[in-house]
Amino acid sequence: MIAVYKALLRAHIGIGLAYRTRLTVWVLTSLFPLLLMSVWLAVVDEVGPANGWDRSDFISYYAAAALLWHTTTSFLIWTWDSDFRSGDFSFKLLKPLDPFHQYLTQEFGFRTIVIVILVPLLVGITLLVPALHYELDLLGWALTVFAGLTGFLLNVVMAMAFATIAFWTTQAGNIYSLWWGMGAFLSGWVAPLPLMPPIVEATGRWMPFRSSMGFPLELLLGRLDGAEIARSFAVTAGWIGIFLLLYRLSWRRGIHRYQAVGG
Amino acid sequence: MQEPAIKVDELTKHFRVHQREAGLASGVRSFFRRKYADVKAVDGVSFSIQPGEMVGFLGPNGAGKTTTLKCLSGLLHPTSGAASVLGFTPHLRRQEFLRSFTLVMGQRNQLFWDLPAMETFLVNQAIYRIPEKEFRIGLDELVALLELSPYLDKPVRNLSLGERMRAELAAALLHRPRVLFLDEPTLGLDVTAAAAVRRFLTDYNERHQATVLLTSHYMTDVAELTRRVIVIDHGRLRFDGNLTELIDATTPHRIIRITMSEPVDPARLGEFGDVVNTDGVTAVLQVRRNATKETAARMLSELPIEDIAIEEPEIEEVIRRVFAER
Repeated sequence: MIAVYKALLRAHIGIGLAYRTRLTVWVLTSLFPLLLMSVWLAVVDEVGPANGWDRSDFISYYAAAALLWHTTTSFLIWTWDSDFRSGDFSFKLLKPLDPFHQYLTQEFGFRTIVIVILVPLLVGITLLVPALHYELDLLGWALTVFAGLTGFLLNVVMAMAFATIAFWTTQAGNIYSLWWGMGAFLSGWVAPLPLMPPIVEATGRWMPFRSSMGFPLELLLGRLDGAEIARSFAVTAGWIGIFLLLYRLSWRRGIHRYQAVGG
Repeated sequence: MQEPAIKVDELTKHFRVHQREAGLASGVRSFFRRKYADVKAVDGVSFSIQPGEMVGFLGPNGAGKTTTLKCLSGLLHPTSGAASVLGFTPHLRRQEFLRSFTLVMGQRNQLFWDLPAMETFLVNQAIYRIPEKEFRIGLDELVALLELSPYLDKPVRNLSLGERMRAELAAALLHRPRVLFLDEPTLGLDVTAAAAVRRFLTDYNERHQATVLLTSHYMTDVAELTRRVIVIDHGRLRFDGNLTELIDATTPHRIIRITMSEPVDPARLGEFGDVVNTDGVTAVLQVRRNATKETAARMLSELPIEDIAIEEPEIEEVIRRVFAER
């Protein structure tokens, strides 16, 4: 399996690098979280620190969110939808390799490129911008990276589970968008969860969305204690298990309905 | 008697298809109230194919050929009936089964579009677990037979249709499949490229004793590659047998083409058979199949013949007749 992953990753990194403009535009979308940051900075300038979060906290939070947005968000469902309608999905089915691995490596390939471009950029900016500070020990960094990785895996598995709806509806992307849109408020993407109303914050801490955004960011800012870190990892693992199970069950039922359209 | 490589028994595949007429009003109506129709794409088809056989699978558009191939590849679950390929039930999609066949669709592409074809070959090597030595030998063979070396390093999107089809075949055959499902493998290719693909397929079949089920609208493909043909239409089997038997059964005539040393009256030619066309000196006649020899002999003795040729009718004509009879 290592050889398969190696070969597929190499190919997908190659595809990611094939179009320079596409890649540049893609990386530029990292700026979106910085727009949200500017809103919060305006608030802080006007009314002072929000619930203990000052300018430096918001800058550090959203600068890292820019990287996380690219590294943990899964676009898999759009690829799946397109493959489903064009007939390319059939070619994935014909291979003696579960399409899950084919889509996962595709996602990994693109993320690898982004990491290679954005991480040095973020490190450089951190050194140059005094407001950015991540005072973490080695374990803290390791836990943050691990949280990002498990968050990414959860997003992929969640997208795969939703993608199987396409066996019934031919298209699943819009249903996923609805789910993901709701998640934007519960993930820490629109605003850090500790600044949300208590009911939203409490709900968000048990939902799958925070695992790939709010959790690693709060970890990076040193705002979580050991118990909260353990609980958050357990929530992530639980949702990975749930979505993996849903994916498998839905696949088993749905594959009977596959119509292999598009050629 | 060997166990068949492919066995299809009363295979049926029905689809529930959403139907709507063209136009905005119809689109709005359809949004609120869906209409569906059951389409019998394959309707109780049975046949079997022995290992190493190359069989033509013919029928008009929408006859159910591709649906049958998709059922045999495990992409589609049959509505009823059974299919077996190399002893496997295709829709169960066992790993060993997926390693033992290939499906090539002429109008589709499995190569990585933005990368050189070599990248797809390397990915397939890993996925099909082809040992390095075997991969290199197989690749060299395919590159030589398909004359691929100039195109290996070019992104697939920059290849011509013919070049891409050859690369596609190489990608599909690297793992040495024992069964080949070929759906219009020469679609859109020019005469030279199509001939190269046919030569290659014949060679592959001889070298590896692969079983081949081929659909094509190009009768040259069918005539050159296969002896046996299976004809389906509206999802039902219309004919299964030797290509010459099909010709005998559907076209009770042969064509005699003659050139004469001096003009002959068409009415005189009409005594030998149906005159398809004539300019006085050359003529094309249709004669009864069982009277061909005798008629040709009479022509040679009674007409000022310079040249005479007896031909089978075009296979396109044969197929047209099969479907006209339905």
